[in-house]
Amino acid sequence: MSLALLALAALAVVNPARVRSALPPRDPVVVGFSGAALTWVALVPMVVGAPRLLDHVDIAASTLRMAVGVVLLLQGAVVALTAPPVCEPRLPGRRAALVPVAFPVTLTPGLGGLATSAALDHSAPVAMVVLATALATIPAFALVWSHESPVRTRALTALGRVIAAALIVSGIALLMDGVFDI
Amino acid sequence: MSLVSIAVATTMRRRVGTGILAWLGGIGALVAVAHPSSCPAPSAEEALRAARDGVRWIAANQTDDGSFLYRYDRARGAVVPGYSYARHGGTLLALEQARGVGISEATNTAEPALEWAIGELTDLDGDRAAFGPETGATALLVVALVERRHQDGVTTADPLLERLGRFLVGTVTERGSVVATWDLATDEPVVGSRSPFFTGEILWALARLHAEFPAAGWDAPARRLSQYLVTERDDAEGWFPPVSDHWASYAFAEISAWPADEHGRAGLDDAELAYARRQAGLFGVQARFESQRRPDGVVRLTRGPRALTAGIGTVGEGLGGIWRLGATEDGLAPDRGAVGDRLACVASLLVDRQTHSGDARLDGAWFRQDVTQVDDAQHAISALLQALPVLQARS
Repeated sequence: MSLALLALAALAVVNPARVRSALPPRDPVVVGFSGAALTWVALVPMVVGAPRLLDHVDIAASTLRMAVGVVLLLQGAVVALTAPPVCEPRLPGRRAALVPVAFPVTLTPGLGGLATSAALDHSAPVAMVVLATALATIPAFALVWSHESPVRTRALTALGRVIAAALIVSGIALLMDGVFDI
Repeated sequence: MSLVSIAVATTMRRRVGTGILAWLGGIGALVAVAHPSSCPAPSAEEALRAARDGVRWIAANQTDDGSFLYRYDRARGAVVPGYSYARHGGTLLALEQARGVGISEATNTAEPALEWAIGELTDLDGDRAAFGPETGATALLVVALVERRHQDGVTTADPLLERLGRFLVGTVTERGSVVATWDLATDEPVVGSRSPFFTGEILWALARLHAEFPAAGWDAPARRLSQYLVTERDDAEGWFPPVSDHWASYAFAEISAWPADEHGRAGLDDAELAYARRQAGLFGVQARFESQRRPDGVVRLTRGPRALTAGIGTVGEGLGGIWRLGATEDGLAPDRGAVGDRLACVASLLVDRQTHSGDARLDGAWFRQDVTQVDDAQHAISALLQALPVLQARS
């Protein structure tokens, strides 16, 4: 997978507009940043360990890319067709960064699969930098977007669906990339 | 604990549980698509031994007139009727390739097989000759004869090569497509006849003829054919998915090694390279998919039955051509390692699936659903021989 496709897929699978809906009204930027950081930390063992594991079980990078493409496609369809997540129920205070922001909203199978595939196709450091950049859009988006009015909430939902459509496109592109790779 | 806090804890658990379910679903989808491969690379010696055993099977079952045992059903213990000139030519090629790596049994088998083929030639006006009505058969006889010329350095068959070549040039249309069937009685093309493989076979034959006889003008029809193949063939002839063309892979490896022409042109052009790259992907995905197949269990259901050995062999041959091409074309050089991996994988499958038995009808053959056909051995032998340099480099 090219770096551009990785970047697009990473941004689409993180989907900051959708995550924004799950942030609590109080301290959304801090909670969003913490949730993104927790997610990034959770991805580290996948990125570092998975290539070795996949090599052990003899799964080719291109085959994994196809599989991740399918997962992204399915995840994109689910995100596009379902209501955005809400901030309740959640752990109290800033611990909401763990539940629901990091899990289950941000740390999805699509993100885990993409992280693993990116580490195989590029390298663990490159994968971690790209993923960190994509995850940084969560607090950044929270900083610039308030969804206090109904109109803005609807716009946020629509934007989340547009990004989900980009995730479907990314999934198809990854699938094709895997099929036609050697 | 209050009722409210119990309710919150319950919905929290439900939320986390939903997330875990999503992960289980995601992992399920990953596992369904990304099955592990099973292709530990054999040693070069193991691959060579498998090729030799394949040659021995062809030799042990060759008939007295020089033709091959075409198809055998081991469940019924019966020879199944049928024959193909194209597969005779292809098997002759595999035998000549085997001679090239010192498999001595191939020599005594190739001699009568060649005599049989020469006896089946049809002489046509214009000092042309055809090996049966399927034009691809003539092409494969040409590539086998050129292979023989490489092994022996003997030029006695050169006039025959020219006659066969002239026939092949007549099968190439102005557009660059080829006629698949020739009416030998009327010496006319069967209009509209097409084959997924004859285009690549004829391209390779003409490419080889140009390499052997550079002043004879075989390159012009070859170039025309090549352009048609890479830019139009699949769409114009309605092949979908695109043809996985191992013969074109051989051909492009040959063309890439041509010396520069009078215009200074050498190697492949951008369209040909792009086509070769796409073909590498087609061969690669087939090798990966096949290596994930298992004879039983859940994977048997998700991946289906194992492919014909002939099909797997063609994938190896195609990868072999691309691998050689990667040595001469910079545009394909970065892919050479991955192509070599897949080629070694195909060799692994072929070594693993070969039959070993005390019965000469079975020993050295590749069966699928109890049936083997001579092109199973043909393509398997050729693929194993293509893999030898890759395996030798890794040992």
